[in-house]
Amino acid sequence: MKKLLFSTLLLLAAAPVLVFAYGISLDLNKIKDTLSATQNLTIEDNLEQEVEIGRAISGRLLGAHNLMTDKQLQEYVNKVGRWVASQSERSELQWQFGVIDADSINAFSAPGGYIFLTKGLYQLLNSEAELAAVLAHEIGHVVQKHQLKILKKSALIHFGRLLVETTLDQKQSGIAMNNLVGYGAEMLSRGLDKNSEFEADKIGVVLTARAGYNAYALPIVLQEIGHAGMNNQSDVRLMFKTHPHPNDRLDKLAPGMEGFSGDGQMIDDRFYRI
Amino acid sequence: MRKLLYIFLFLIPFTADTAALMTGKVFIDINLLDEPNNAGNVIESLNANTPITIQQRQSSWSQVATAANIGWVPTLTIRIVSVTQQSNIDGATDVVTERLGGVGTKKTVVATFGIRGIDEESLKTAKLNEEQLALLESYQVSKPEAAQFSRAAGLKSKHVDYFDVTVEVEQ
Repeated sequence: MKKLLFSTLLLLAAAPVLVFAYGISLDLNKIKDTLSATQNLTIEDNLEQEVEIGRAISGRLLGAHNLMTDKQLQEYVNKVGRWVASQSERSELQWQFGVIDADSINAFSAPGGYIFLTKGLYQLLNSEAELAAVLAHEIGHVVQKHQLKILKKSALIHFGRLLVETTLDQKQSGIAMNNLVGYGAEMLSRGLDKNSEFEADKIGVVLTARAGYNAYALPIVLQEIGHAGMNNQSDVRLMFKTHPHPNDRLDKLAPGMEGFSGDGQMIDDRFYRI
Repeated sequence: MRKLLYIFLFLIPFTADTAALMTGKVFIDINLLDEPNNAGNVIESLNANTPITIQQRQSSWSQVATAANIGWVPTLTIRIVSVTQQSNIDGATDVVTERLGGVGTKKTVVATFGIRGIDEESLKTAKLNEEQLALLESYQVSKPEAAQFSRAAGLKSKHVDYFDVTVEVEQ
């Protein structure tokens, strides 16, 4: 009942914004009635919808920047990423990894198991373990459904589905979905909250270690990119907008790292260099 | 002219060996040890902000050079200030071009002009690219394929508990 009440309040609070966003008028009583009839209205239990949203957000990202054309590179990254993702609690997702052709230094994830890193970030890496660690951090976001939770909080999903189910025709529901995906795509550039990033770091370290790599690979990557934050270089500007400063992330990781001996592998001999 | 130089540099085959020269500092007071473990003998007591150059890494330790000595400190006590990528082409060591760092920091081998970075505006205005999505999907690897790939490098999965984070177990 509490959940229903919360959903209703959330929806009512969001209604003016959403009316603006969708450019349509709404019958709030009808919405409340529909909410009563759909107490379990939640996207988090719906894997198919999560993947659909993640795919659409990823498609937007790839609309902004193509994948690198190096097939061997992409396959290599998918093998490393899939192995790391196999160590997670969501190992059965259809994980997909891509290196996008951009000099910016950043990595992204989208709901459903879509993970990307930029050419700029890849070129900074020196070993397979470091690649695994970067991917593991992004896998951590998907495992914890960080993006999905934000989308849910925004009420867009509730609202979008509600409209799809009750008041919109097919064309309008397509617009609603587009708005939702657009919001998700913007999230890629705005970033998540700091706590989500710190959490993904901790998960990333553990998944890296579970996969047999050196758990210190992520701290090492953070160290190596940390100094770039002292400059206002365009390559890293977005990363420092979407992630906390690497030194802050290292500070948060340090206490937990005491439990790791660093006995895993770094693997630099078969690391695919570009 | 500078642009032409960059183009020329970009055309250099990427067969050059590269080695990163990383300089930084320790950010806490820490002992420099003669071995990469806590049982090592103290060579020098370093104060916070002592400048160092990183020589190599081993498990959770880094070998560093101070003005007077070479020894080991825990990797997490270091903050890197600059990375210089030295490129060794045909036996001649040459620092090629700047990429990442600030004043005096040089890095090599990549073309850094002409390609727009990912920014908020490009993401806002981008249209869904089905062709690229299909390409992405074509690279997908199955769980057994990935396991085989990991075995080839001697990687073995092991049990490691999460720390300071709660993960719900579900697919």
